[in-house]
Amino acid sequence: MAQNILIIEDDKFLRELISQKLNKEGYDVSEAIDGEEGIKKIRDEKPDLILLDLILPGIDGFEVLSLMKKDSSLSSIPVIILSNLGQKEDVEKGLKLGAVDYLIKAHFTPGEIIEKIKVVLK
Amino acid sequence: MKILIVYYSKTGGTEKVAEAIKKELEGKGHAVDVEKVKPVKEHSFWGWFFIRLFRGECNIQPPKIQDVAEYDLVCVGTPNWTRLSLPVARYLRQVKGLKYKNIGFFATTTLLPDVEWYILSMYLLDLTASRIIERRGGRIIASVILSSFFKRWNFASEYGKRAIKNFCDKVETPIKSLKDYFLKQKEIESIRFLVILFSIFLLLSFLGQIISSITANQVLTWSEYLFLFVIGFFSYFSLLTILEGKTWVFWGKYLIGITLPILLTLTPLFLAFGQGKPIVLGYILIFVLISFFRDPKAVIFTGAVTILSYSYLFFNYPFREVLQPTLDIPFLLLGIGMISFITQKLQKHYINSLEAQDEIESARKRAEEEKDKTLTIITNLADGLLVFDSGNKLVRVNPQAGKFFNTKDQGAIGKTMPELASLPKFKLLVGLLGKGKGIKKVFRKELKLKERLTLEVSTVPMASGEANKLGTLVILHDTTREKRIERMKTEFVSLAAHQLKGPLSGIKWTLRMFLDDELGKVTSEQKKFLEKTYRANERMIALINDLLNVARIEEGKYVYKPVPTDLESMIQSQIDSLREEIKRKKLKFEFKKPVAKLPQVAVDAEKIDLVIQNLLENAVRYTPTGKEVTVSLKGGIKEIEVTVADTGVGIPQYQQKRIFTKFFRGANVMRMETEGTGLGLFITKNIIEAHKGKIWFESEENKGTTFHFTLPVKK
Repeated sequence: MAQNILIIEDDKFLRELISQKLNKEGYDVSEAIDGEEGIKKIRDEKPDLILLDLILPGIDGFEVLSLMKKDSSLSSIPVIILSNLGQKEDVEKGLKLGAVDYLIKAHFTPGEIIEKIKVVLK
Repeated sequence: MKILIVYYSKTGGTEKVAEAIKKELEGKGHAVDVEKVKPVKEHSFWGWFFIRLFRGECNIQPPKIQDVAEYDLVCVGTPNWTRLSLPVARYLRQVKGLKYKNIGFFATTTLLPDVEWYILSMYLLDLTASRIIERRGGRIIASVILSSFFKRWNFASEYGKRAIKNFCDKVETPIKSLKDYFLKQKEIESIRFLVILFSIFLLLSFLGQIISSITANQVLTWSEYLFLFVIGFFSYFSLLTILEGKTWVFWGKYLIGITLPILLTLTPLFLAFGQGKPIVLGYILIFVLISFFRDPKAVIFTGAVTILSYSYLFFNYPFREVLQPTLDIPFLLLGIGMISFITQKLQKHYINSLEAQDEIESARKRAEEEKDKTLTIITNLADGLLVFDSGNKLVRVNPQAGKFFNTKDQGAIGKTMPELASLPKFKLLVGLLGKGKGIKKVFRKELKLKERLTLEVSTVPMASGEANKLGTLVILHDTTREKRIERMKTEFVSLAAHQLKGPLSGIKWTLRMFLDDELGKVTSEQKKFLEKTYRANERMIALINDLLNVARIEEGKYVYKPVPTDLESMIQSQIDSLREEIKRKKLKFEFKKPVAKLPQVAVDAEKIDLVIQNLLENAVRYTPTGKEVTVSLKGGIKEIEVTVADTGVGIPQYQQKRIFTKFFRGANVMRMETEGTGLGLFITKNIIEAHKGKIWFESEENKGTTFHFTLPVKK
């Protein structure tokens, strides 16, 4: 069965690029354009992995992360943070909140992102 | 000019003159204030008489204006009865600021103005007022008197209007020289005095003539008397015109010098003298009188006239036996000589003291002007200024500084630094300048005084000549706005750079997918272009990262978290990541490691990694193909030194000073290639210095560059 990946990203261009790449790699892709929709979709679909952007309209990525980690039914889902916020404080905060990895969009190619996903899902 | 009119008016006459003067002066564009002096209790005319007789002065209600220092001119007015002048006299005695003040004096009388002068009363009034004024240091420069009763000579008449206009013209013009003023004034006063004596004399002689003719004791016949009277009146009249015209004061002395001796000479014709002595003494008296004019020439002239008339008397009249020419003439000559000599000496002495006063006055004026100039500068300076004297006591806080420290009160004045430390408003400043007795030397040190107030503080010593320390200036420059603008700029750069990252990521991914054939077949020709575009995009991403780092350094948000770090492995991994380029440029690369493994150092690993990356990248990038790059690591007790030496293009001598500045790129490398942001070394230097390390370099164009940096060893 194909694995389900939820991408929470407000930038349409980037979201579609990643979706296309993920689809090509054989994953089922689900999209959310803001934090609230993200939370809803996490609850409804319970994906196998979440790609989470931090800068979102409404509630931000950190909020989403901490909310889902509080819910025991959702806390086991691995989250890879995919953001352009590159400061050490942000990385530490994200990892502390329970993200399994933190990738800076501008520094990674789609191929490299796929590699990281494969590692986590193994 | 700022003018004050002070007056007391009982019947309103003086008040009307005061108003007329005020209108005239305001018409000329001056600012005029008015102070109406009010006695504590108003009295009737004769009530004043008794007060003057028995008390000699009166009390006035507290005046509005108690200090006249700020005025350029004060006009003082009073009714012309000395007893009625008491209120104004009192005011003049107690007001402050009269020193060196120009005064215009006006009065009203019920009679005719001119007559008043010569019946003494006006003279007395003038004398009283000028004595008080002069004792307080002021001087009367003009006076006017008008009638309150007679319409023809009152304030509204032609005469009055002209007199007021003359008065106002005169008070307007400042006196050029004290000396000239005093000389003229004294001369006028002397003539006036003589004129009054004359008028008394004429009056009394007239009365005497009448009485003597009634009592049949006539000394002179009416025709003889009238003859004398005419001469006397002629001189009196000419003196009057001289006085009124105030011209030819010079000639007045000589006129008197002729008239008086002749008159005296003629008196023996009508009065029998037992001896000649009274006449001679009379002449001497006349010389003394003339000497009051302080003109030795006039004394000699009078003496000559005296000798002539004496000789005339002697040769022409019967009682020459009474005269003893052999005694008298030498005596007269001696008198003339001595008196003119003394007069000359007095004149010189008098003029000298006037000149000295003049010089003092102009020096004082110059000092005042300078002081005013300096005060204006200090008051209007846009920066705050604190002035400390040679004893390090605070003597002045200019308005801008007062605004900074929120202190209008002068509670801080007179305190030294240690004392100021106890005042809450000044605590922060004292912290910067030192609580000790002296004031620390500070240049453009930043001081955040309040939430919205940042100052740049500098101290400047004030000295007169080499050794004379006058004090210290503390200059406070408001940089709040500059700082705010800088902050806004940095925030903008942060924001813009951050926003750019999104689209750049999208471009990067798309190009990558093209290059990896994931978006359809791409020819190798096309791939070449795409590759270049991909690299250009990567450079943009690198620039954005650098800009963000710089912005964070400037915002002070570049936090340093030291962790134990192994420098050797950090350098090695950076070298490894450059392996491809080193191979491509066929560079001879060497890493000189210390024999013994270096202990870990507490540094911010992320930042030091950037430093090593920057220096290595520069070395590799700017060294041409086939040349060498050497990296060495040295450990010491106090510090660790890292050296990156290349044999590349070097840095031009004239640009070496600017190598660490923002956005700087050497002229030679700019020509070579347009990569490079110019931010790398700026960030590098910041990081090293934040670790309290040192960074420096040696370079020669076309020979190579060697960069060194040290990091203190801290466990």
